[in-house]
Amino acid sequence: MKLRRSMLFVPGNAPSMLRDAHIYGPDSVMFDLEDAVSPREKDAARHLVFRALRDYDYAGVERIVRINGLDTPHGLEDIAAVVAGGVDAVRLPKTDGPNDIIAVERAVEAAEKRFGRPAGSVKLIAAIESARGILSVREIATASARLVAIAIGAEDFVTDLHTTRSPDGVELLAARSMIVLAARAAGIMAIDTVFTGVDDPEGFLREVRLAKQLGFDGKSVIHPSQIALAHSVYAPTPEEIAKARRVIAAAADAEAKGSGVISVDGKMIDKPIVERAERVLALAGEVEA
Amino acid sequence: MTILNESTAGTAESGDARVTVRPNAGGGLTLELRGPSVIRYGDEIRAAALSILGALGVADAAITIEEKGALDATIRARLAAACGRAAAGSTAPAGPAAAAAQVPWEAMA
Repeated sequence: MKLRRSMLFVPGNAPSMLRDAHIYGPDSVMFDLEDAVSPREKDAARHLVFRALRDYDYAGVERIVRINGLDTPHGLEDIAAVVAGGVDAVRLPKTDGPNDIIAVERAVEAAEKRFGRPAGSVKLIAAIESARGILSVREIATASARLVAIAIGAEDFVTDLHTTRSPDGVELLAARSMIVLAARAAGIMAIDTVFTGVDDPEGFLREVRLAKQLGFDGKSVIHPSQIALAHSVYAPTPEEIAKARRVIAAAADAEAKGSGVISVDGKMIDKPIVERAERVLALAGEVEA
Repeated sequence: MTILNESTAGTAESGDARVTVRPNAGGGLTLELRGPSVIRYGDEIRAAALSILGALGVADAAITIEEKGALDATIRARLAAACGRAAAGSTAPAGPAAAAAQVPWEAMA
């Protein structure tokens, strides 16, 4: 199970930040060619991100690039550059419906062919940032076998909704819940929006706890200091880890004996509890994430 | 790729490089390096620049690289971007979209 507790946004036009993005230990780095880059620097940022993907060793950290939409003059060339560079996943901004995914999938497929990369090797992540996108989230989540996660981009979304962001996030509750439901139904991950208050660790922690409780697998982060905080929220307690170990051991024992009945601490254990225990151990770093 | 106009890419910030490319019709390649790493890494920077120019098929250009401790990858990226901008034809639409057209990514790998 790949963890995506933290996806660190890195502006695509900042050479030093591109080089050092992984040293803070995020689960994924996300190089941004979209909103972080002004229109007149799109070409230069694309070259920097291409070289970063080609030339730097990110020590196994997942490398995602947020491209410009295909409705801009930049999107198609972004895809060519990042697929040629060897990107792990492409993140689409402003996904309004399944056709947005299908169009990007076609372009990615063509780029894989052009650059000799294995078919299907480039994954997709869709960011939903509008009411229209949220109402299509079910179709978006199943639009491509390449899709590994859906994310919510809150700033554009609350503007679309004619509201603003509040500390308790009530304005995002329906959208967040729909994203998690669609992600779970499709068997993919749900990634929460950024928290822009870099100097407000308490507010950040509150928001990560809320997102985790709703079912999100992780969060987009905009500052290295937010990575350890996000991971701390997702870290299981020693009691949870001990219990998970007992569940996994009992499940292995039952399987070895050919028994369908698993019991831990005098309680019957069924499949969802075993799955949850596997997830706890993955989050604890005890099994391959 | 033919260099048609003077163009630059990059910044003077630490860890970056500013690359300027000028037309040099029939004059071959000239390369001027400036910056703190040039004495120690001049040969590497020169080799990196020539490999990008070869990949882009640039035969005639006057190039100035002002680096501020930039890594090879950054210099390659800035040079490729500057060449793309300098080669954007005067009849083609201006701007980054035109500069992006026909970038031979595979050759620059």
